Amino acid sequence: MATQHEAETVRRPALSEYLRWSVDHKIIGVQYGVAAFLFFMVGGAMAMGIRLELWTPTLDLMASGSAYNSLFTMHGTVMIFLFIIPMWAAFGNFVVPLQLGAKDMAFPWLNAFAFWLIPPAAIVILLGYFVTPAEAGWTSYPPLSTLFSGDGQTLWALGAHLLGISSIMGSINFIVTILNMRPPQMIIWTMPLLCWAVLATSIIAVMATPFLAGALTLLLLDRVAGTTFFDASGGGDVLLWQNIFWFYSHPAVYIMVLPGMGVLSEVLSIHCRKPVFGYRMVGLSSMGIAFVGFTVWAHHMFTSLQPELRIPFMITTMIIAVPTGIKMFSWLGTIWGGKMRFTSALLFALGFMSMFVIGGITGVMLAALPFDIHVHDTYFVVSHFHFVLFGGSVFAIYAALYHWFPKVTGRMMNERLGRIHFVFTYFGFLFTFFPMHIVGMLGMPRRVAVYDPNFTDWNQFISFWAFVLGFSTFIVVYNVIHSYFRGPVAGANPWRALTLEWATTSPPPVTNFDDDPIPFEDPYGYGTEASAAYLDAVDAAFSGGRPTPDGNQAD
Amino acid sequence: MENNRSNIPSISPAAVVVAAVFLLVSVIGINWFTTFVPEVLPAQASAESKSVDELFYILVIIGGLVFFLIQGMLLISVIFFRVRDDDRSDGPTYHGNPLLEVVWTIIPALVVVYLAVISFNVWNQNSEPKAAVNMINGEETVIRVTGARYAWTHNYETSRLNPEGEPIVINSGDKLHTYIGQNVDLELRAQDVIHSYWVPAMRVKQDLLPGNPDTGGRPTEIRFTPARVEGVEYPAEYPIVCAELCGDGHGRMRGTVIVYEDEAQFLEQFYEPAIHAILNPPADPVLRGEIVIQEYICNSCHTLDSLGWSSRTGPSMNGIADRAGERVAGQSAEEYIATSVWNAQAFVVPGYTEQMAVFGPDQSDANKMSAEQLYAIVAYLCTQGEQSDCDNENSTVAIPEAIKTAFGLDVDITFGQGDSEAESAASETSEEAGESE
Amino acid sequence: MAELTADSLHAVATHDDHGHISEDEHNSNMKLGLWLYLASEIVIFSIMIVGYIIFRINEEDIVAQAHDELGVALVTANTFVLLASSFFMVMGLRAMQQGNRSGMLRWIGLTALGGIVFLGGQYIEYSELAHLGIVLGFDDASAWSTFGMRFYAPTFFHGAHVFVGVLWALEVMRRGAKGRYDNNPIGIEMFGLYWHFVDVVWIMLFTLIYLV
Repeated sequence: MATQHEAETVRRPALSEYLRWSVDHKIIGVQYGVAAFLFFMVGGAMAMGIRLELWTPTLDLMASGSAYNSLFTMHGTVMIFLFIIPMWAAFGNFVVPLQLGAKDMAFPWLNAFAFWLIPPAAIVILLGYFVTPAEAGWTSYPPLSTLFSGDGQTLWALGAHLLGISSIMGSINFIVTILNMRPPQMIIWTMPLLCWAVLATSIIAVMATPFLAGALTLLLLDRVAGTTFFDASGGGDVLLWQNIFWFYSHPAVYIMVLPGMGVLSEVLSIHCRKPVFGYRMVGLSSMGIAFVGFTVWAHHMFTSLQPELRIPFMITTMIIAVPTGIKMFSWLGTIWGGKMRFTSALLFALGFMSMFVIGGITGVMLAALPFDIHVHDTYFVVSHFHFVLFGGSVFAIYAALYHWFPKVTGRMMNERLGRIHFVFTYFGFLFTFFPMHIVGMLGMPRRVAVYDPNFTDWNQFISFWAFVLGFSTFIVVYNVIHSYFRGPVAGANPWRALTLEWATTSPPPVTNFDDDPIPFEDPYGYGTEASAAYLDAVDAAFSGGRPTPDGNQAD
Repeated sequence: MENNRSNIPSISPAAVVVAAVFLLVSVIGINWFTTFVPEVLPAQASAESKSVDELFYILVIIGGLVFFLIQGMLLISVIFFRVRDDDRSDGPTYHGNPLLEVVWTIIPALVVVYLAVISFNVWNQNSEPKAAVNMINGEETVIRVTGARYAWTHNYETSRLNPEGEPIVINSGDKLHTYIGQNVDLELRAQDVIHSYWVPAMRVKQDLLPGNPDTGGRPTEIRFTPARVEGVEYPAEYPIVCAELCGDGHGRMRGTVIVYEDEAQFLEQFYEPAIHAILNPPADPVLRGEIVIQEYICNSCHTLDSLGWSSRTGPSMNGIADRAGERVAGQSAEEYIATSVWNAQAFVVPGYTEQMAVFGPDQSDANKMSAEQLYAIVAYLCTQGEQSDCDNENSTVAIPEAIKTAFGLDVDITFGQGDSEAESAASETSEEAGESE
Repeated sequence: MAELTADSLHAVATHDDHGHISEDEHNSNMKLGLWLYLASEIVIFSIMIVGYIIFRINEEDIVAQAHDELGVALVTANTFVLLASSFFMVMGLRAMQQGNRSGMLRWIGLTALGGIVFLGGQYIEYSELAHLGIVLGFDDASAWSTFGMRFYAPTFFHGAHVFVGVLWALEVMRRGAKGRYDNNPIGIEMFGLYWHFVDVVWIMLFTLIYLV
């Protein structure tokens, strides 16, 4: 990896480079992204199977209740561990070092290793599906997951363990990169908000994922070594698992959402041509969410926890609405009075706000203990977390895709297809998941293949729109493939953005920058003459997608 | 970030109009949705459900305001702040407004404090232990609920005594019988995995946790007081649902709460007939078996058309008597059935997994089975088939020693020796209870 | 912005062939990374330790009985060996910082030896306990069986860390012999951080399981 100044560095990496071991954070980012999207398709196909089975109130598509159980277990596991978390590692990997003006991540080798743990882990988990599959849900509560499950559960735990290790490695890398590798001009208060979000996320991941590792270790010992950590008849405790597991998995929700919030701050500001409203509060609220997120885990156990312990967790859970609200209002302040360009990226960002607010409201409702008791473990909860993880994370992932695709590939995506994709995704999503609130309140528990026939109409409505939502994925897949080959050439800075990843060619050269770039004093300082001059300089430096002969960016 | 107050974006009059329209829409919308609330919640069949629904009502109003506020502002932005794609100009450089930021931190904080307080009050009010629970005939009764894969079992430990002076236990299977105004307080125990006892109409839910059976398990408690629902004919029925994933038959794990109008109706239609049936079991072991088998959770996994069971986790019991004699070499049909009930792992029908529990006198809760009950179940299952392999008439069946040991039998089961002698063998020990036939 | 030319930065960013970062930056990255790694390790150990504490509170009799049987003498000796190896570790780093490569090799070698002796002691202890019927799995017949898993899980997990540490020490010696640390002993420092961490964890386990 010698330093290269020549124009040849602008060429796109050959597709075969993405299939090989590489320590280049940009290659690894794409590897993460493509792998995660493939898993998204796999998990989505499983979701379609789930909705097909739920078309009728009886068991007909699946051979048994267990088959259905293993299907949604896999759906949850694949979507969480193999799609959303790696997908944020994808964008984090590609964008964060560029935004920091760094040549690579702090530990390039570790970065590659963390990625290459994912394929074997995925194979182990998916292999489990073909032996005696895990059927205890992605939460794997013992004793169902210990005394009453087959070998697939062991493989599930092993695979999840590997993914946890990968996540810890990746996060250590992010923290060190963000804290140590900023250019001297960039203090922590002028850091792009995506970096803030990734930093907060990585801190959570480093502190929380070991809990998953510990819990899985004990689960594996119970399964294979005959210990009884979670078995009451051997002196164990079934709630021990729930406590440790949720101590990881609740913060994990923020691992899945916080980077999306960072993306949103970027996309809204850039595509509305306005500074992020209340930058400090947006950055600090990420940290606030990260820390309060560690104190709320037991609200997942409201129906099993000792009654007197439930109230404190209700209070902490409600408190977390405050930093989330700060973010939501700050984004509204960002777009208010802006010059909105209706790019696909902005559409998905607005879609995020529109849908995530519903997830936030139902989150507060679920925190209200007496109401939660009624809807705990029902479709209301299913709906809530899909509003957070699909309406939130996936919409943000799409926004990030449309936003950074030009930087990754050097080509623009097709905006018309992007809009069609948005319409299908938005309405498909809304009509799939909003009615689930109602079936949940009416009395339909989650994780059932056989349900009260009174809910058939609701479920058919939901399934229909779920298929629409499923279809929408193919539009974006077509768009990505088509645009990769046929899309118009993007140029260095198609969105006229101020953050550093746009101050280099698209795609960036192997060393990212031919020189040490100087960030603009304010990452979101749109609307000033200085920022316009900076952007013009960047445009001039990279006109035609090539660096100027002397390698400097502008003058 | 420094503030650049000179650049505050001006809001056009049209935006004010739209804002007003949205305020109107949100008021109408919330109002409409709150009238819709009763439609999206089950009947309010308990005292608790009223306060929970009131809380929900408040949550919907506040949530609705937030919802319409944010969607409204989004819509206004989309309409008024949109520019053409070729407009290269930037928006105002406006970095924030500390006052506004403080306001939108403080107001949500106050709102959640308010919500926490009212939730706490509702919770306190609903979870307060009540005096005089499970009153039947003026006496408190223990009602134990067992969750086992995949059925509920309700046991009423009554104050009535049987002729031996032991309290009578009514096993009402997957049905909970109660009446309006009774302070129900159930003792929940899980037999195998975690289950969750949910009565949507009562707005209550509690997990059942497996504990150490040697120390009495790990009981949890659920409390509610059925209330009158207008326009409902009593006795009214409400579903009980298992809300915690428990395996193959989780979706089928359901039960029924039967609410009687008052204690008199409860006593007349449920309690007294149940006591009577226990004190006067049918002499015919087949008829008795038909009752006994329904007290166990066989229906959660097996199909049996005669009783309307249709679960497919375990092998079908339709026509079991026709096959029972050929399953295991050297076992007669009766021996096979008895062995399969007691210890199903002894022979697992090909194509099925080892899921069924062991039943016997020394098992706990839902799996407790006396010799008489086993005897009755075998007698009943022997009638399930066209040409039964069982020799129901005047035959004594050699019971394997293992079963005898497990059930404390000292003689073999004898079938069909007429009503009066039916209790001669297996039922010897305590069959005096049935002397009145 | 006119001042985009970044001449002032050239002095800081001396490009090397790997990672494009300066030695100082590399050192500080490595240290921060290892600290974060150790933080996550602390979490895993604390799950096991908290599990043990809860068990201790609930089952005082079994723990009291176990205390009578556990051979404290052997473990005390073992603890001493581990503590001594931490001291050797410090001496090794000091030797390298003074430019004494062979001294460093001797001290780090002693450190590794300490680790190996510790593992041997643990092996002897485990075999003795196995003879007493303290096993990992749950056994209805044995009153010990619930103690066993809570004892073996943290101590074995710690032992595995000592094992990794011994391998690491050998690797440090291999690299050190080639002169890798002559100018920049960060590799030894990193190993030292890890080794002290393992040591501290052991002191906690020793106090909790054997002494209290």
